[in-house]
Amino acid sequence: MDRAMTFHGIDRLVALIAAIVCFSVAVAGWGMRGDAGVFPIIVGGLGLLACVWLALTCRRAEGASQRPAPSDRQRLGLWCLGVVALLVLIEPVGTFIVLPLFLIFNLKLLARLSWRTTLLLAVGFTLGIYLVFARLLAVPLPAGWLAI
Amino acid sequence: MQLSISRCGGVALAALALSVGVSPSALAEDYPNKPIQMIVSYGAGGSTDTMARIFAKYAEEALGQRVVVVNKPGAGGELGWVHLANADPDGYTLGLINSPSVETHPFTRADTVGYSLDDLQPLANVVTDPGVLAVAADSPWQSLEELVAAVRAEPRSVTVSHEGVGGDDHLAALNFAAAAGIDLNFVSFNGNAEATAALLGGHIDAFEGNMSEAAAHINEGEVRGLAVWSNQRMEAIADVPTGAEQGYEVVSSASRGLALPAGVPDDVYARLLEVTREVIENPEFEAELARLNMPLDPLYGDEYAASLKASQDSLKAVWDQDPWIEP
Amino acid sequence: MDILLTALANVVTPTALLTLVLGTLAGILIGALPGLSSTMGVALCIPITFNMPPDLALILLGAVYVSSVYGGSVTAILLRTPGTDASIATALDGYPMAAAGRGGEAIGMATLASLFGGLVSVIVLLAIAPPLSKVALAFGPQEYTWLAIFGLVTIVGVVSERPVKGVLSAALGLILATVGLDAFTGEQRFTFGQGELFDGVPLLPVLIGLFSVSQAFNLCIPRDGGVLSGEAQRMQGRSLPYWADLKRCLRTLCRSSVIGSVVGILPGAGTSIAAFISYNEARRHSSHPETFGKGEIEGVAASEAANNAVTGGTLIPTLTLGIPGNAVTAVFVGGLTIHGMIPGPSLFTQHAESTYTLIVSLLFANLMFAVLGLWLCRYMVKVTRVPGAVLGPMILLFSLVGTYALRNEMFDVWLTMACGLMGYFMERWRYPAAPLVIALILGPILEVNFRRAMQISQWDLTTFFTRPLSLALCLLVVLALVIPLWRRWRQRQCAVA
Repeated sequence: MDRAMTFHGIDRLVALIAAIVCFSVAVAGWGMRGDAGVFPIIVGGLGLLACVWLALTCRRAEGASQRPAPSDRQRLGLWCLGVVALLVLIEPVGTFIVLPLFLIFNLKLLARLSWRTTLLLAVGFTLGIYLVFARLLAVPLPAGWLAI
Repeated sequence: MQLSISRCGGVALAALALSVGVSPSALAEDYPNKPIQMIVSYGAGGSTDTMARIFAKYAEEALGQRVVVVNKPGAGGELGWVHLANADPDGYTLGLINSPSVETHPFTRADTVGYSLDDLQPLANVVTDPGVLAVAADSPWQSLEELVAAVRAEPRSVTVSHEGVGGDDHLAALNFAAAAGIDLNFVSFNGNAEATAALLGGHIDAFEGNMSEAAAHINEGEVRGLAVWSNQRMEAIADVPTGAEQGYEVVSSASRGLALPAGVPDDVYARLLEVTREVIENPEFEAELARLNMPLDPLYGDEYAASLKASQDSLKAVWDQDPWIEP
Repeated sequence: MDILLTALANVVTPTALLTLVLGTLAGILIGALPGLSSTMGVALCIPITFNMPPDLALILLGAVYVSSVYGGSVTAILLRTPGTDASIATALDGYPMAAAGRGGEAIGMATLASLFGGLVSVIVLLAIAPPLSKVALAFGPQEYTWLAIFGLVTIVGVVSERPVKGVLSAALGLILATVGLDAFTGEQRFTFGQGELFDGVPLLPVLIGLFSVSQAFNLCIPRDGGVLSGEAQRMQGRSLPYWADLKRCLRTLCRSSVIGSVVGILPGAGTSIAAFISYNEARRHSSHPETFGKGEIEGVAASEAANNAVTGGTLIPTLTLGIPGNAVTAVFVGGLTIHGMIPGPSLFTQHAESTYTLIVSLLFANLMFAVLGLWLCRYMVKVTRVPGAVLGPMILLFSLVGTYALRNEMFDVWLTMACGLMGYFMERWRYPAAPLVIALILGPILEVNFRRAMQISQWDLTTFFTRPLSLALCLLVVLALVIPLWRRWRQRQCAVA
């Protein structure tokens, strides 16, 4: 997604976005009661200075006209899909169902392991997490369907 | 081959699923038949957490089930209490509530707060930890009188630490300042440790905190207690006079009790109340708390609920008149 | 002296030694696994120690504490996923070393440096704890303000080839540090009504996200991604540093151990700050500062000696004054009080035996993790041979479960993943993440102490210059700012001439 941009362009974009954030923080700090806003104003100002400095120097910086190394969009998409599904499903479905599924998804599609190793790793890893966290340390990981 | 192995995986998963805990729904006659969660709204290792873990140890024996302490720290206790209020009222989740914070959040954070006292079913108060005003051992002031005189001579010259705006320490110091008609210079600290360090290092003049935290330093002689904000002197620091003895009618404390989410079945509630009473009346439990300078102050069931409500009403009245957090 | 012998006798019993071994192993694992931190390790062990006799409980907690700080270095070097904030600085040179096929050597040096720093600080704790605790008290709000500024100036200078990117990253960290309920006024700052943010942006999810999760992204997305490329995967070489390297690093080791112990004594200052200050000092005194950040073994030594020296240092105010030096020792205090030992001077009188047993056991714990570390080193380096796409999901899951266990909040897990995505792009776009994390640690220290100093002095800014210690720290900050500029100016003069 960032293949079309040079580092020079990226730096300018970052400076612009960061400047908006810093400016909003400083403005919000102005409206706070008592001395609560003093620090937001100071750090917002510091951030703004850094943004201006970055915007002014990014053209001269080393490698400004280069581009980030191309990334495999298909794999990035698959990986992000897996992570989002993991986060969304973990509470309703349950940690110890989603964990092995996530591992199987990744090990099969991204690492391209054999089914045998994939399943062994997925079940072994999940069992390990279960024993250490749920049993030994009594961390109440979301149980989901397994809670009944 | 592939098929049989995936079936193996399936079997393993099913076995895993079974071991995670397939438990029947809560029935009062065999209550408790699974571990009970005890939510502590402060971090592991703090004084609330310590008390909770000691209570859990005794409650486990009495209930015959594991009592698992779950720390949900955040937002001055609010996160944990919201969680407690929203938990299933089946008796398998109970929590520690800390006064006055549990009473004040619903009106000081009226716009954003996620629970009200009505969402909680108080079980019993366990500990009441009175407030203490202390100065370093090399301080010139021997009594409240001398401190008040110093402030009168030079208004706002005396710095007093407290642990966060709106907490019980801050309220106690505010009440004292109001009773004495003086203006103190408040300095906010994150917790007792930092404030104690600042007092011992001479960076602040006086320290407002709870007895359980200050008693060790007072008894070591590094810190001098000027007043304890209780109705009578406390055993752990018997030399420290009360505020009333010195003419300042200020009473303030932090209490820790137990509560359930509202709507727990009556028989489960009765069973838990019985167990709680058993633990609190156990002399070993009391001795263990006494070693931590936490004075036991039992108050059960409806009485406890009524006292929480009454205290909330009086705090609310003060807040409505003169909010301690400027709007 | 008698008390030391009694303590020694308590430690060399079979049960105590077994506890020590188990605690050390657990600590190394906790530190090494991405997503688990020292604080969490000690906090999670508290319930386990509850049913143990006090001496054993303390031995276990102590062993977990010191070895988890060491354990962080292993994955920081091999995978560039520092498990704790203490080892961020270790990754700066450790990972390039691993990439050059010298991972074993880097771990060996990290182990010996950790041992050295750990032993120095425990000896300091044993010998001169009570007088040193006065140092902790001499630091008031004014001094902490300068210390935090010094830390920020150091970190910006250390990591980035372009200082402006470091400053921007630090500024974003400072902005994140303002989130939460303001302790002075009760104002809700940038919380957007989210209760989970009332206490501020939690540090560990940000740390784990920016370093571990983003590394999981890096490992999974390239088609045949591995932790290391090409030949380096196979040859991680010897597991002991060369004698000549050790001799060269001796001064750095001594300097870093002193810095670590002193910073450790100051409540709240933090392990990562000590590691970065030591790293910066090592680079400043080096005859070839340009090699730092590219696989300089001295950098690993500086960071690791310092972060393990902090462990003994933080226990000084904890045990002598009852004032915990950091989050880990705060949990430690809980562990002590559960067994009826109230931290403070009474520990050295009433509970002297247990206290000295703890301190002596720390010596053993340091030796134990060094022995285990050197022995396990040859197995641990094999992790770099695992394909990236296998390692990545596991790092991610450890991070997920670890951040959830911190306070049992899904919010923190989402935050971790968001920071992971941000870290991935920060690295891709060549922005350093370390200043952001360090600023998030130092921001609250800076703000709270600045405002506290203002409250105490009733808004008199001269208070920062009139106290001798405060003035000295102020000069240190000025020097830290001026020296690099002056050097650059001189270099330019030389280049012209």
